[in-house]
Amino acid sequence: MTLWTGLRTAVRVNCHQSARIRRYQSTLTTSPPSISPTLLGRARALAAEHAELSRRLNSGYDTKLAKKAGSLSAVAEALNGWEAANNSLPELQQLVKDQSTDAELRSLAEEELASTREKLASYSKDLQTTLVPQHPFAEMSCLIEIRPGAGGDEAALFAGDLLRMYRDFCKRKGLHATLLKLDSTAAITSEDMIQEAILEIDAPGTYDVFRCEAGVHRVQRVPATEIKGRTHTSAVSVMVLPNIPEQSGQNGENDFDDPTSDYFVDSKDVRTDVMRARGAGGQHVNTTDSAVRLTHLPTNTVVAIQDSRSQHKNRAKAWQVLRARLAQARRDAREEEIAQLRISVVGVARMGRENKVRTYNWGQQRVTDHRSGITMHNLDDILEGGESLDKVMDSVKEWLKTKDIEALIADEEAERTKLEANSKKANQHD
Amino acid sequence: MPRLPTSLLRRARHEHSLLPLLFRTCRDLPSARNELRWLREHILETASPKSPPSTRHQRLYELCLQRSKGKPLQYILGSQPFGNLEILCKPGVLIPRPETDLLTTHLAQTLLSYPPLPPTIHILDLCTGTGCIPLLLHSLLHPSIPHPHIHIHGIDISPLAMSLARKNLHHNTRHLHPSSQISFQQADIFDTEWLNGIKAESSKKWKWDILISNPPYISPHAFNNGSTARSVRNYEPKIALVPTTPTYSSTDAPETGGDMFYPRLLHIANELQVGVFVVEVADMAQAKRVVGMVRERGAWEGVEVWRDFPEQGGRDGTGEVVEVDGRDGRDVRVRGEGEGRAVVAWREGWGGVFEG
Repeated sequence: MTLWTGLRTAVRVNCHQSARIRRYQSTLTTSPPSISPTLLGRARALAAEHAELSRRLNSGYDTKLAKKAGSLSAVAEALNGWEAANNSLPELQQLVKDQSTDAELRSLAEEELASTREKLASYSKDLQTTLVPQHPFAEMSCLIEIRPGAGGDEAALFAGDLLRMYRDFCKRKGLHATLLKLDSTAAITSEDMIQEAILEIDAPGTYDVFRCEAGVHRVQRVPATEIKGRTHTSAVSVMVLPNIPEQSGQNGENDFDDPTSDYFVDSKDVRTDVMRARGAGGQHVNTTDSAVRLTHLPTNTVVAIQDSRSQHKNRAKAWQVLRARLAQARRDAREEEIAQLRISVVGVARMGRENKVRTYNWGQQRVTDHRSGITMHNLDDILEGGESLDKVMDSVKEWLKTKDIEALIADEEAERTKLEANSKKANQHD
Repeated sequence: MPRLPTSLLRRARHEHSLLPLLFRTCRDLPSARNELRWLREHILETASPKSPPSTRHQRLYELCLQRSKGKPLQYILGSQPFGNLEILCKPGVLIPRPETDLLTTHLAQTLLSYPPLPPTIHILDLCTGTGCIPLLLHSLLHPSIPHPHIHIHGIDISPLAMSLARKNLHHNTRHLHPSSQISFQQADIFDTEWLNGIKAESSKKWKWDILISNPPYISPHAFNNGSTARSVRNYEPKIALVPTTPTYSSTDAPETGGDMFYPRLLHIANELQVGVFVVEVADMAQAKRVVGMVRERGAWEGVEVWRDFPEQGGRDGTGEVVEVDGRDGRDVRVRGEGEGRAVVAWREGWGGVFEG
């Protein structure tokens, strides 16, 4: 969170310097424009902030400042490298171009030029990566919710396939995954036919690993129940939620008790329904009903857990899921708001979680991800959570990164347009 | 008991051949499903891994058959979750109820929300049964009290209950403070000698702070008129449900037949000069009668009634006020939602804890 807000303030700082940035552009024309000037502007602003923070840290240590400086140091480093390479470029080019340069020196300069171009490319990439703000939930562990959509039993079966796929994936990666909730359509708790499953992956950073899996997964195959051999299409929705840690964060981050935090849930807003014994209750009856249902009244979010015999445990799990869902919903709402702003200014749309993200086609034994466009032909390996799934997920992560960079540029430009419009208005008033 | 529709039974059978058996006791699909799952998990946990699937299925069938006859699931599985604890259960000892769980938890939270607690707390639990109340109280109180000086003493007339309570103490040690002071004693609380003994023991250096009890409170009338579940009547010990004391005569009014223990509990509380008195009751009507008894004795600074879900409405809420047909015609404050479940009375010095 701090990182995110840190960047937002940095944008504002940057705007004072926007005039200077444009002046830099003229010097850039000599080299291939490998990095957007907008991004470069932001990088300079952040590097300046980093220098300022380092200066302040030298005079007195502060955990919060140190953390912020640490998060910015990668940007500063990449920018330094980039600028050093970029500055040496004109000189080298001059040497190569100049007829009076002797042959030996020229060949050295040519080598140097090639390596500098390489460096420049690599630093540009670093810059882009470091500039994209880390997702606020990135360091958290996660919950994966799997729910069949349209398609009846076939969708429930495919939901079971996906659950198995993620469990196998976790097993292969050595991640600890436990079923937090399993609602099966069959009485015998089979993990084949699923109405709702929540998988808890208990390792920090797994939110970032599985973030790319959120969305609608579509299956095209001849269901086991189909007699005439027709191919059916069904869908399963996958949600990836942040698993909010039990303990409140130290620096006021992730704080349950801070009403301004995304993780804050006012217990007054939550209605708890537990078993109500029929009739007199108490000693008169002996119920085994341990189901707990929580309703977050302002958003009408309902979480029901009945897996454990212990009401105490069911309640704890229900709170865990409720917190995760609310945090994700608030995040989504905020992203949506930002995306709307983007569309209105620069027309970059955001791909929502409600969209179809991937198709699993049995007939052709292929999996296509609709975001990255990747198609893999080893369906079995993917469904076993094998290395092919890694490739698909990696391609989506790459795609997400490009989208994030685009969004970043769009945000910068939107901010600048707004500022310019404001200053124009101010000028008119003068 | 209403007949179950055939269509529902057919659906259940279609899902699993053993579901209709569980249906006889559970009466609805979600709880039958849950119980089947828990029974299966129990078999997977307890059966030797080498046993063939057919043996396991046979065992599952036997357990479902027992359950269909009304045997409590807790006796079949041997335990019942209670707060964060697992309480062992055995035929002959009353199974802990979720209402008692909520009552105990709320009492602990109420005590903890009032910081200046005495450095040492002595709690007496009468008719303790499995020992669930002392164990849960201890596990909830000890993490928040810096130097745990919580002494809890549980009493029950049944030797079977006492041996189970000691097993439960051992079974839950990881939730308790290593130097926990929990003891159990087999005694008849109507025994004068016992009372004299416990009185002599306490008055020297310290006093009992809290007396809590979940005594038998079902009237013989309510035991037989259908308001007590078949499973409870047939399988759980009647001695823990229906008070039978020498003072009881069948000519007493049917509705007050369950009140027999409360005067004795109040007498003990007065003799021991306890600070707080907490007793579970059957319903609002009984709660009002017990409030009347508390007021008749005087000596108590305040009294209120807690419902099944005392925390709902919050401590800041004043709660509703219900009229009690007592001699002085005063009203009593009722907290929470659900059926009237407990009467709480306190002496001078404890008002700060309970008057929210």
